[in-house]
Amino acid sequence: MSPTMVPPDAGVTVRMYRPGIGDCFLLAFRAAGGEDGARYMLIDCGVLVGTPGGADRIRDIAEDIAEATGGHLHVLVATHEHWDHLSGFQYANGTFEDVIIDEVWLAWTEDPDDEVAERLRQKHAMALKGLLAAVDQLGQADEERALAMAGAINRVLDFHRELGVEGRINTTAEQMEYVQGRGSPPRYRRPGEPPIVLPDVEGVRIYVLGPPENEARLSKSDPSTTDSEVYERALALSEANAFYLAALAAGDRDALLDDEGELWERSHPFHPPVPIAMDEAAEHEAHGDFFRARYFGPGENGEDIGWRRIDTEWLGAAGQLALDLDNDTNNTSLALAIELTESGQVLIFPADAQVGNWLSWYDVAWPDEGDCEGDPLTAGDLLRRTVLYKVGHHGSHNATLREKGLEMMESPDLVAMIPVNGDHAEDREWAMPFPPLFARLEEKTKGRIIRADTGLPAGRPERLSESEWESFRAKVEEDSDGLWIQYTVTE
Amino acid sequence: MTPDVNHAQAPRPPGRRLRAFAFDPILSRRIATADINQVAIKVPWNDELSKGPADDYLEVVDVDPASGACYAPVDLNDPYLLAQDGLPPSEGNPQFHQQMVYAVARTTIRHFERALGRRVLWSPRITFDPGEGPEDAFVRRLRIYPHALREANAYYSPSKKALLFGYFPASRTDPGENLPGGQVFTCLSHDIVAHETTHALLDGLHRRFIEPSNVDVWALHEAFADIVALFQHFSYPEVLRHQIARTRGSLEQQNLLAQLAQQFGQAIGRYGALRDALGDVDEETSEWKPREPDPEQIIHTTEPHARGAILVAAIFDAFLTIYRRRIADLLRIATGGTGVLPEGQVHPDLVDRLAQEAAKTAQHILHMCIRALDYCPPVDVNFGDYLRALITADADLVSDDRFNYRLAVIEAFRRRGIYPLDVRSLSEESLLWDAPTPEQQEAYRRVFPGGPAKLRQFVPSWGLTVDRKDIYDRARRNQAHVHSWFTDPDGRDAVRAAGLTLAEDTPATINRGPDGRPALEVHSVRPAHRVGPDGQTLTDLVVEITQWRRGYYDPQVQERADRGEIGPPWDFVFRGGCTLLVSLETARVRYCVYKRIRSARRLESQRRFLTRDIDPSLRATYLGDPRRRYFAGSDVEAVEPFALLHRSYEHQEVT
Repeated sequence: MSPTMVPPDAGVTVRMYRPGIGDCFLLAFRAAGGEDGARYMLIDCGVLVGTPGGADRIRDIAEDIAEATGGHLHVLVATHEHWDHLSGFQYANGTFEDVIIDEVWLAWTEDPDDEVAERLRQKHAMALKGLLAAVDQLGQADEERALAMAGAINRVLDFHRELGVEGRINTTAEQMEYVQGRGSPPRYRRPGEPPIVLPDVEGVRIYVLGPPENEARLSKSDPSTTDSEVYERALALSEANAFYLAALAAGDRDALLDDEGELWERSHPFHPPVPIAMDEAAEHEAHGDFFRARYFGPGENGEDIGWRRIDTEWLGAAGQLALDLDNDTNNTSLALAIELTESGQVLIFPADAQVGNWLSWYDVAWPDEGDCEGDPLTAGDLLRRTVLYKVGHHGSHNATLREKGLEMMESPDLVAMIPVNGDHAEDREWAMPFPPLFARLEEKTKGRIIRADTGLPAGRPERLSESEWESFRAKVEEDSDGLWIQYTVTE
Repeated sequence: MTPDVNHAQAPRPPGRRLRAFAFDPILSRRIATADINQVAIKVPWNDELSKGPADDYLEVVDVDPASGACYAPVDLNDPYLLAQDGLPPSEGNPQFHQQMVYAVARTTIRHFERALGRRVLWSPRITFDPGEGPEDAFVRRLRIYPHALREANAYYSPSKKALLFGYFPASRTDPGENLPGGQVFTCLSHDIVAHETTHALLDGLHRRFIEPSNVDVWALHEAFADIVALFQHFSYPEVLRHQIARTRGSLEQQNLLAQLAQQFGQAIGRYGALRDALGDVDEETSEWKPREPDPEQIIHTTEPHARGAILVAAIFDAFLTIYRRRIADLLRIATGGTGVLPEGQVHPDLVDRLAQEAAKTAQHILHMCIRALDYCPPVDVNFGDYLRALITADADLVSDDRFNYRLAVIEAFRRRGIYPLDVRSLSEESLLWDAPTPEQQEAYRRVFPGGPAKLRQFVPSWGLTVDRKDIYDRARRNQAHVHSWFTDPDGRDAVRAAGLTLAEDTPATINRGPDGRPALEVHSVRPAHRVGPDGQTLTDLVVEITQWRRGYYDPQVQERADRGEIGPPWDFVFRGGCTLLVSLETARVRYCVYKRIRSARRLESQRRFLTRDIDPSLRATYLGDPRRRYFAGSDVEAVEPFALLHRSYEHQEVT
């Protein structure tokens, strides 16, 4: 088939697909050498678990991608292991199987041969395992509050897994594995590496901004990971692990692996013969009376004391830990800056990078790309020249750094694209897009915001003149089926 | 139970001592004062103390569900333990943990009772019978779970009337000391136990202070808990003696006490906000420097711990000022007027005196802060209200303010930008709560029939020999009486004077009683003590009356609901009410602290608070804003505000 997405003569067209809450961006560059060819880069393809009709929609999108690119992708970028960035590779696996993929780009945190990456992976795997066990326990509790908590945490864990048929759990790990397999081999990108030039594409340079190689930036919530001495093995007794092991043991003590079991023993605050097993306490010879009267019931006067039990209270920590896992995974985002060399215009695709990742961009520089005065090129320079900003994490607050992020974007032509669905977010009671952030984006872009759910603003925004509005609209194209909306940056 | 002793021969002891850690044991490994990390806490003697330990106020139940274990309860009446101030401090023995947690909680209760001059009650348990409204049930004992959680956290659960303490592996806080397998127990931190117990005590006194109706409410809960913990810690002279002895040079260096304050919760990282509010180590000089107060800071500080820390810093500031005044003469004597000590060690007598002055001042401040609670409005309290309550309560107790405690407090608050909204100036007289006008006084006279003699019947003895359930039952009967007086036609004017409304032509959103008129809830009737100008002890009756109203986020919806066009449910609860301080000598109302239910300004304020200042954290993005969720959740769902507050603060993000 021949490709149907046509790039501009000079510049790039960015097609934002509209699956719901999910990222899927197809970029088209003009191929050099006079031929009417194009080069295509796909950045992520996913839709959040539980999106009504999501799987079908992402399949339609995948087919459109195949058609648009003529069945040939030159670069596939998978930014990080979250469902709303990768699930398309599972749901539309068949379609992707038939697409030729020249190169696969992943963050260095996906490199199986990198020690630090491997440690992170193990840490996240443990976290997910523990959290699923915790939610399971909460879900079985008798209390309304425990069930409500389980529900809320489950929604956060939707970024990592889906509860499939017959109790099977599908995870993002499998999706990432598929993507890895399509690379021959995948290229693991590191921040600060020399700018990437795509074969046959002139006038475009791609800079890798993140994820940071500094572990402290990657995972703000657990400073102990920076101390490799304490961390002799990937599995160490940390606050989070002590919780996860307890959650796993509560479900099925025997399912713990050997080293997990050992750590589980060590995680106990007191050692035999001090502890009395909880299921034996009510019948304990010396203290059975005490525990029955004070905890297990019935109370001293036969009254119901069950309302004071705390059997599942400790599982409440899962909420914050789930958020930590979400944050840490988001921080492993492969963040890219695409520069059009002639005009110096920059497009920023930070995936879902959060604070640590954004801040780390200032730790890298490109001395060889510097200006005539010998100053190296910095992230700040790239941000200043940004004309298109793919808003991180569906417009939530944490994924757009303020002072050293959005406020650095000075271009009067700035356009923002937000891959969000406000209705879906509201169904989940999520604050996306975050209103103050959205307001600031409106100010910075003068109203040139393209949303995946609502598309272009309905009427000319106040801050844009007639000619500015017309010229903006001329660069936007929308698909009649509502599958995508695209914007072209011309040199 | 105590062994069979002939009590007729031996006098009953006033108290007993129980050993506890003075500082967090992990911390004590690091700081130089590790030599003395033990304190013997005095708790009142109790013939009914049983295994657990458990007494009339508390029961320690050592259940650890995360580990699937329970730990045997300690019997503090064992003769060996009676003889040696309880178990020796030990991290590895859970029974010591039970002892310590009991001792610290019990002593916190004792401070409250001494300051208030009456016994404390825990907040009642609310249950819902199907088809009926909420029912209050008396809760005798606060439950304490020393090993409830596997996290660096501790909280008070209003729904379970319990304190839950967490524990976690030590590697998190000791990256350099490498203590494999060592655990940190929050129940072994004196300050954390006192802090959590205080949340429970405050909840028992002011149930509505958990409702986030404005930006100060949760901050006040946190601040108050920190204040009690901090000043209770300072009230042990032995703790201070050691630190003061290490001083070199000028004794004007009050940084010492502030530095000490900072260290208290350091191991757990719990006092992060307080640390920042008090001061920091100068990077260049490596010297600790107090932080200059910035009156603008409070304007943009909304997170409860950080905002509360400003209040705590203000109180601490006042404490230092007063301490400085109290020791001025000692310094003059000791240094011959130069203010600089001679070379060598500080004279032990001087150390002793200084430590005692600090401890005394700490106790005064502590009691001052606790007493102020009786002078607060029952709902929608803010920092400005608390300042006025502090000043009024203290003025009622101490007429000869020789060291100018009140002035120090006012100054400290002013420096941090904490002002009440509607006072003419920050002078002591202006800050006192308003006394009723003669017309209002006349209205009150009509509502309290029978004058002082009748009123005195309503002061049940809240003394130490009365059973607390009896106090509770009696108080509820009294509340019913007061309710009948205020709803009586003779009470109409008094109702208006108190800022309440019973009129029929009021917004339909105000909760109605069965008779169709706005409902009044007599929230509390209790005694409070003060000292008259001649030094005699007097008693007031504190009466709290509240009303509530349906609130809506959309002002237009609110208008329609006010007109009666829209019925329940609602977006949030808006409350009004008053606190009356009635003299039992004269039956006159001395002060009336009110929050009008009809105040459009206050309603709009609460609406704006809940809708505008959106919490940007990841937690709020995914799990919802805790303030709005508080109002959205039904009581049955039992939202746990403290669990949320404490967890989310730990993981604050800086953007």
